[in-house]
Amino acid sequence: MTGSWKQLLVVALCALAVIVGADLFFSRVAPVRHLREVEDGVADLQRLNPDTLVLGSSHARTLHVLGQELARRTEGRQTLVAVPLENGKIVPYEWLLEHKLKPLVDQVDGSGRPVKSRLRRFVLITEWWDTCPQDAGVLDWNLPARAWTAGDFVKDVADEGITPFNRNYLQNRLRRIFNDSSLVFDRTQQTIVWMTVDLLRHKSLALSPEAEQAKVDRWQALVTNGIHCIGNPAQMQAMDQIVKFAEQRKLEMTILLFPRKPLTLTDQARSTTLPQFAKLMQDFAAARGVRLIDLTTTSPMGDGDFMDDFDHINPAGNAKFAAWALDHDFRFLLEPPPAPTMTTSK
Amino acid sequence: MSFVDVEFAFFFPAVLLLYWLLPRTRVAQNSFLLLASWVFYAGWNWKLLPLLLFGGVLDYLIGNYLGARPVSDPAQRRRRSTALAISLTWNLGALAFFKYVGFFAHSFNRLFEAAGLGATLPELQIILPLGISFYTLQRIGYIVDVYYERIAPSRSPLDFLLFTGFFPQLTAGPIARGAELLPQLAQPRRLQPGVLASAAATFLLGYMLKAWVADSIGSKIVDPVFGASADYSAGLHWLALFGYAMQVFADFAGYSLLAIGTARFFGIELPINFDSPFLARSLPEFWRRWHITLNRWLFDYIYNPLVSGSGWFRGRFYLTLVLVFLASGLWHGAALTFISWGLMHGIGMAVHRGWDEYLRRLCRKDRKYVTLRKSAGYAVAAWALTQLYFMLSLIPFHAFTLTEAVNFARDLFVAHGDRRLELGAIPKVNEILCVGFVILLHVLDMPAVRGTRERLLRVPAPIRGMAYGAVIVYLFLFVPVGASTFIYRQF
Repeated sequence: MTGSWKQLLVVALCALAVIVGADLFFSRVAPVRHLREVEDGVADLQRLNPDTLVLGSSHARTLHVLGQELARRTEGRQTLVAVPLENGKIVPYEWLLEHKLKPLVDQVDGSGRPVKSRLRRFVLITEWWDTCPQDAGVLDWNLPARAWTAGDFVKDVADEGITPFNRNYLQNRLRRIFNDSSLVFDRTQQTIVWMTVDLLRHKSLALSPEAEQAKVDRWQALVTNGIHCIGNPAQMQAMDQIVKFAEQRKLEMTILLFPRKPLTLTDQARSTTLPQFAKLMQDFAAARGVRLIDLTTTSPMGDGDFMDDFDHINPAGNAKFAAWALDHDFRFLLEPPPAPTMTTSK
Repeated sequence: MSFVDVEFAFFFPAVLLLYWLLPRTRVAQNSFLLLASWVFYAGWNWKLLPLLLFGGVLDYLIGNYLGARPVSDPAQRRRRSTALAISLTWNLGALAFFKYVGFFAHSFNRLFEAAGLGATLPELQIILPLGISFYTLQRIGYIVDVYYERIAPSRSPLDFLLFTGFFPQLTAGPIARGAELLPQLAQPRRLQPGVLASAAATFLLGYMLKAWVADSIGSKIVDPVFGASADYSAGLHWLALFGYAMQVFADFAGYSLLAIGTARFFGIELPINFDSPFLARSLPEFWRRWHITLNRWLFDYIYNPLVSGSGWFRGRFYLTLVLVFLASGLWHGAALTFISWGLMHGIGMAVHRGWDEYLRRLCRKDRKYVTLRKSAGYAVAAWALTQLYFMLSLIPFHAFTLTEAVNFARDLFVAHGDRRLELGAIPKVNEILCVGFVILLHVLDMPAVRGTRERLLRVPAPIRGMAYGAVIVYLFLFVPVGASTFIYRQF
């Protein structure tokens, strides 16, 4: 038993030394990858005066790269801010738009002129997953919580008590406090152990063929079974609200159906989930007069352009996508829209 | 909010820091802890905070009412009994309403349907106030102790409200006695390095048991098999049952240690709640080691008064044992499965009592039975039977329905599913370490090994520090974000 303050301090410092040392070691094994998050997008919108605002799930990070290419090609004449909301779903997009983005978009200066005076376009990135009902589970991902302020958290706690939903705000705050700690970040990734073991065994991180096939099977089943959940009324209603946001501000709106990794798409998914979702979105876009760009299977993105998670495009793929998109379906971004705003369905 | 939730990582350091920055007076410290406890409870549901407060105020007033009327005064007997009855009615009534109304309405409705009567009682969906099963017993224990003049009533409403709503023990115990907690609350606490170190070690041990052992075993072994038992073999059923025993122990013992460690950080000692129960060689010994504070409450406030009182239960040890454990089962939950669990243990305790009396008679007649009783073989057999019985009793404890319990029990012997547990090499090692850790804790508590434990606790400070650091790193790697709810919190 530690009986003196000196002993207690020695114990604490030695413990801390081990933890920090381990963290430094593991940060070399599994470096923390700071991805663009919703608060980064909100901060950029606050700081900048973009021509195009993009909202989507984590896939919006790809459009962030497109925005960089856009700025390069137009020498800064056309700029874009992408706001990625991890885990997606339209209802959280609508919450984010209403509570965090709209106040910035509608901000006026002292003389009553809009601060975001150049904003003319709005792009919503989505896919079939976004229109399925909100997830129910232990963690109850609440990724708008990453854009919450303390006031939002307190209000939600006052209404609901502390729940797995609003707890995400605190999870995010804790991660931000330990922003560079691989141990803290790994608690949601669980890669340190595997990468360390592989490092010690001098083996690559590749999964066994059986594990790899199981992963493919899981993804294929996920997409194929998506037919049963797409078009959830709450999600579609939220999408309607998002369109109204753009209409009220005379923003030229585009809905992008994001590319999927070809390997995750079975023939059944290509004949059920994807076309049914595409029709749903075509009807929606046509009814509301917004442009629809369906790149689910028509982009040049191949299996090699996606990360190991089978979901996100890798950095090289992002660059490829950005270049291709600005030469094709997104070439309209290179020039400002004619006024008044004209929208077409595609 | 629970000890392993992320909000506790914000709440606790702030509360602890502010607490020790306060003037070192009883009023300042207790006021702050009471406010913190209300915030803690309100974080779950502030609308039920008045229920907690009202009961505390009522029992404070009744306690002082009783204290002002000594038991030696015959003229006060009726008033004292009435006051006691009011407290018990409120406490037990609130518990019955929130916890059991739905169950009894549902049960009566099923009976009405079976009898073809067609009448129905409303089956209300009532929120169970967090911790009501625990703080109710704590308050009843206090009032009964004051009634029998075992303790003096608390004169300080501040101290008493904190006694009935101290956040480390509020949601799931340990259930403290007035004599244990109130004297501590009546004094200011001082920050001492030894106590701080012990608090941190206890908290870490509790966290390891709850967030690592219980959650790992639960998610990887117990839940898969219990969730789809027809898919698995009989062997895996036994493994899952063993795993569940580990999980329940780690979950609740872990919670108790977290509560004890948290309280110790504030200079307050809570009673221990677990004492290596898997070393027990009889059911009575088991229940002296498992959920100690609940079982001593049941025996001190129900069993002993019944069997030693002047009523009908006087001397009826066997029946009273069964009734006490039925009450324990009902306390755990308003369901036939929990009642079955309680009945199993009541019968087991009664059988053990009968066996023990029989064996004592044999020992008095012939010394060879004394030798037998003290032999290692007898000890091992008694230990194995005790632990096996406890494990089997967990079948109805885990099940949602009696049918599910019966099916699982049957599958222990006849299941022939061929599904395997999906455990990779590293998770498998982790599971083995979890079980090994529980075994190690118990082994270190054995009398023959206690010297080793004392030597381990005296290793030099730097080595101790590095060991703690390594443990914390391991927990970072193997404890997932968002640990599951404490099993006992639902009671």
